Amino acid sequence: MTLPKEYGGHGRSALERYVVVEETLAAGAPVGYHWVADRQSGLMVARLGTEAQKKSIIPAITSGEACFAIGMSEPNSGSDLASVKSKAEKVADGWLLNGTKIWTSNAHNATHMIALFRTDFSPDAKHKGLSQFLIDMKTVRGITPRPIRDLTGRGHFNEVSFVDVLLPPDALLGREGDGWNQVTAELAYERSGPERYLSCFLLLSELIKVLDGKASPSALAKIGAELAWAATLRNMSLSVAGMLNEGKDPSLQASVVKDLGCHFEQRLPGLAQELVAMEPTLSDSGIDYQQVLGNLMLLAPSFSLRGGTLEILRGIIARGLGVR
Amino acid sequence: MNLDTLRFPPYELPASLAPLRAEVREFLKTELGAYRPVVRSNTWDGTDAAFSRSSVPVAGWA
Repeated sequence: MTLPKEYGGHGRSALERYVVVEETLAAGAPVGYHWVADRQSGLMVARLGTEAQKKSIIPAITSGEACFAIGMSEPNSGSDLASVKSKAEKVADGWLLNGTKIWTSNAHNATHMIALFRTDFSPDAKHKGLSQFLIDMKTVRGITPRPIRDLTGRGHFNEVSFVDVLLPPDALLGREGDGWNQVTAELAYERSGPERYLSCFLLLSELIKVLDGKASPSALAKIGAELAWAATLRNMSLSVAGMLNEGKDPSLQASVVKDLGCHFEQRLPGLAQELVAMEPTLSDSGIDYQQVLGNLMLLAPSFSLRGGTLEILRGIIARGLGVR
Repeated sequence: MNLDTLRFPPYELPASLAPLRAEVREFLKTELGAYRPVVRSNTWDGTDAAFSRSSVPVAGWA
């Protein structure tokens, strides 16, 4: 919704988007198909893309047709992006990609991917030798997403293999070798939004409904403490939104929001079980509360993976505080 | 350790955004009527291309 009007976007502000995201997540709207495109990929194309890339991709995003995945983490290097080994070699017809990405959300549904590949293979290149590519998942050959079944039995994350994938020369997004800086800026959008404290909000709301005014004082105190956490995380997240709005770099603050938000969201299913003596279930035999609890108990452990693992975030926080 | 780098300057959403919030809430009340709570609990993990195609072009509500 923040994409430029000249390419079919709505030109709304990041703060307007913040309000819409809060409302859609609190209500539990199924936004996964367009989520990544709206949150970050569309902005990346608008900021770094060529005129041709903008004209071809942004209208697909604003019509809700495009579903984006982000190819960053890799097997054996996890979220440590400086260790990316997947290669993009410059060849006569464009770029030849080989390698594997992992923990790629929604890759099996994606129409497009923005992926980070190594384009400089000298041993000391590390951060400097990375580039981003805009990939049309439906037309190029050699890309195979394999869903990784999680505890719910669904395959949200994927392992994605690239075998001799030939991309046209204009698939490069931004500048060759500038991938590290581009990705770092992109991650600030990913780590601090309302999704970091609203992923389990429906459970909190169903829990309050099921208690129906009959909660003990100690149960009320525990729910109150979690609501205070939610309010504090919201203020921290808004602060990051304000910094982004003013063109500042909030990487450190965004990492703190993601880390604390993840802990908050992952402990809510446990609290619900402690306060209400009802078994979680995925079966229709349970009431809504039991089904929501059953789903989130199985889903919440994966929250520490998406948007960078907690270990990586803490490394960023340590560096930001000058202790690493 | 330099804790001065870890500041969260207070920031409030402008009051002018309240009508947008009300409008989105109303829109979602209608759009989400058929979705059971367990489906809605997936939020941004929940992929529904039909919902995206119908809601995104409406005033850019992505």
